[in-house]
Parts: sequence; structure tokens; C-alpha cells
Amino acid sequence: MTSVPARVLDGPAEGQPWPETLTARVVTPGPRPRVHGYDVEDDLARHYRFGEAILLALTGLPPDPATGSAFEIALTFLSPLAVTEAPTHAALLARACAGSTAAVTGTAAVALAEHARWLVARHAPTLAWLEGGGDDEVPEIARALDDDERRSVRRLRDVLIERAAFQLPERDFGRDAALLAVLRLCGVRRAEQMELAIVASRLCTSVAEALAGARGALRDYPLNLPPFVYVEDAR
Amino acid sequence: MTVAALATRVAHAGYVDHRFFGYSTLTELLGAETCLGLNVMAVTGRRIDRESLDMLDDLAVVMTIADPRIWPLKLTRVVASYGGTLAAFAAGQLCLEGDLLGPWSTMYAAMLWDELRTSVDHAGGTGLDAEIASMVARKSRLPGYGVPFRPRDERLDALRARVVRRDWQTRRYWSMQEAFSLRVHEARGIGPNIAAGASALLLDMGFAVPDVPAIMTVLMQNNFVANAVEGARQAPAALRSLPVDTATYVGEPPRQSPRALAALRGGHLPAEPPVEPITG
Repeated sequence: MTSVPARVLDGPAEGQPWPETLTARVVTPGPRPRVHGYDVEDDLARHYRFGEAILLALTGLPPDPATGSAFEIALTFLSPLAVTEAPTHAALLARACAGSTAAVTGTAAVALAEHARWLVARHAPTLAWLEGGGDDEVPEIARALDDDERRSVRRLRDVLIERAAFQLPERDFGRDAALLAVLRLCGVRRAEQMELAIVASRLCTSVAEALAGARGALRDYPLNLPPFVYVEDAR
Repeated sequence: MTVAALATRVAHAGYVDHRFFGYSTLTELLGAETCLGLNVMAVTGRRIDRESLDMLDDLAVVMTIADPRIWPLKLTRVVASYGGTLAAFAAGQLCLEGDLLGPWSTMYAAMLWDELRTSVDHAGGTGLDAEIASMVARKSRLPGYGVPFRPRDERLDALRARVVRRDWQTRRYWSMQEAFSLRVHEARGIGPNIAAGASALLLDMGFAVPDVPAIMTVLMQNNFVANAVEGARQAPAALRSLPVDTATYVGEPPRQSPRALAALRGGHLPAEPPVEPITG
């Protein structure tokens, strides 16, 4: 097939003034990248841990040691998402369908982003309560559901004190609410920042779980978990 | 281990035949249903008449505006630059679930018509014109109105001609939209875009408001497929990595972190403010 030049056409893309360059606001393009002005290779890589660099990317500020440690503890607590949870389940299905690593990772990333969006939206009362200073009664969505959650939040409190001298208030938090409170204390305040931090914490563990399974192992997947029952409406 | 069963009306896979929304795929739908018809069933669960399918085809054609420079399609091209068609296609869909452009913006226009129809039905005789005037005066933002970069939406003009040709112009939501558009133009000097007309037509076909974004997504797929396919085949290096001087950096100027500064001063970190608990 021989290509011929199209007629000279005119439209909004030709007839309007448009910017001629992309705008970079966080990462400087080029061989010596800076994030929010800080040299990645000669400053951040020397003086900051990876988790702290993530927090810097989110907030624009290099964290103090306690805040950096608390943020990393929160990320570590957030990171495991078992195969029973939708993002990892979806990633496992992508692997079972013989999807490429890119497909498995992309599937996990999309589902994790949806999960984070859902989680943060669900905790809007928690975030409003934290924004207001947290003096009133803990909202229902933020409360621990059972003793397993209380024990998990106790472990979070203990490790925050041990490793970060970071004090989480003694309220009857559920695990998710406690972790959102820690993120907020670390300067991750906006919902979009929280969603991104949650996704960043979970991507590797979710994909690692999926990649640990055999590629294309369709027969190993529990097809009827959960069962679907097909129903038909009268025509 | 007990997990509650999930009901589905979509489908069941059998050994010799399959069910799709209550129909046998191999004996009832095969040879009787179109690809577009199957996609409408996928959204609504029901088959649609031939006349409406033809109108949907017209709508799909007028919405074929697949220029790779258009933002969601450019996104598709950028992702396709690594050679993956489906990743590019999927990425192109993700940015559409908002009220600025695409299928969901059409749903907001449909909500406007639904609200107007409800107002007229409950107005007790004040009539369509009065309700339109009230709504135009009341609402600061009108989804489906405003045509960027050009005086009129040529797609809506083309659709209007097809509507007239098919003698659909007196249908309730379409005529409501036309009357509303006149009033908006008088009051605000802006015209309707394709979302206004498409949403009215879809309601006239019997689609429910929540069905609108999914139907619009179906109708717009050719735009994304075309760009994902050509983009992946080309996999252009130029899109994978643009020259550095095609970006202008406007962020923070170069600076040193507190720890780098402390290291320069002999290893002493500057004093950090104490971390405050959120409650006393």
C-alpha cells in the first residue's frame, strides 16, 4: 500500500494557539534529575531512604527522620494485600490468563488505584474528623471492628513509638483509619496523596503474589469462588 | 468456607450452547443480532429495535473524531508507543470517567433532560417553556452546552439532519433539547454540543440515565481502537521519549536537603520540630 499525503486540512488543532512544550513541575527532565529541586543522585540517594523519597515526592518536603520512619512504617503496614483482596486476585487472574508481566502489573495497578479510591472515599468522615483535630467522638467508620484490628493497631502504635518516637493517639481506631491518621501526620493530607501512597505501598506485594503463581495455570484457578448463579428475567 | 453466591443476568457458558441475557447465543442471537445490538444488550440486558440500532449507528458515525491529537486519544498513542495495543486501549478508557469529556459528560446532560422532564410532568400545567426558563435561570453550569474552538458543534448539526431524516425530531427528549438550546443561546450566547443531542436521543430510545455512559463508551470505541492499533504498530520512539527541551520546568529551583546541608556542616542535622500527636 502506497501512502499519499492527505489534503491540507484545517481544524482546531491547526487553528488555535497551543503551548509548544510540556510543563514539568516535580521532576526536572534531563540527565541530572531533581525532584522538587533536590538532586536525586547526589542528595536524595545519599541521605534519604526510598520511602522518604516517596514522601518527598508526595509532599514536596524532605521529611525529618521521625516522619520518614513513621511514613515507612505506615507503608509497610499497608503493603500486604493478600490474594483474597480484589487487586491481588485480579493480578493473579491476569497471570492465570498468561498475561505478560506488564499485563499483570497493569492489572494490579488499576485495581489497586480503584481500591485506594474506594478506601479513601469510604473514610471521608475519618479524614474530616482528623482535619477537625480529632477531639470529638471517633466516627463509626474509623472504629475498630474486632480485637484482631485492635491488636494490629496496638502493634502499629508500638512500632511507631519504637522506631519513630511517633505517637498515635489512644483512640479505638480500626486499622485503615489508624494508617490514614499516620499518613496525615506525615504530611500526606489530601485524598489524592493518600490514594497514591496506598497504591505505591501495595504494588510490589500484589504483583509478587501473582507472579509466584504459574503463568497460564487456568486449571489451578478456583472458577466457582465465589459461585455465580445465572438468572433470567421473563421476556 | 462459605461465600455467598452472586446473581448474574449476563451469561452462562454451556457445553453445546450459551446463554446471553436470556437468549441462546447459537440458536436465537446468531444470524439475528448485530454486533452493536449485542453491545446494547451488554449495557441494558435487552434487545433494541432495528430503527434505534440504525440511529445508534448514525450517532457512532457522527462521534467518529479520532484525531490522535485529541487528549484521550493522545494518551492512547503515548501508551501505545511501547507496542502494546490493549494496554494503550485500556489506558485511553481510564481518563473518561469524569464530567469534563466523553461518556460521563453525556450522562450529566441526560440527567438535565430527566430533571426537565420530571419538572414538566409535575409542573401542573405551567408548560415546557416556563420550566426551561426556570432551569436556565437556576443552573450555573449546563452540561452539554458550550462548543470549544469553533462556533458550532458540527457533529450535532450532522446528527440533527439524520434525526430529521428519520423523522425523530418530534420525540420528547429531542424536542425538549432543541427548545432548551434555543433558550440557552438567547440567555447565555452558547450553543449545545454533541452531548446535549446524544443524551436526548438515547433517552428517546428508552435508555435509562445510568445506561448512557456505557452506551456512549460502546459507540466511541472505534476512536480508541484505531489509535491503539496504529499507535502500537508504529511504536514511535518519538513518543516514547521526547527531547529534553520539549519540556519547560517550572517547579522548585535547585536546593539542598537538610541532611545534605548537615553533612556539609560536619554531620550535624539541624533541629527538627517535634512531632505532635493529633490529640492531647
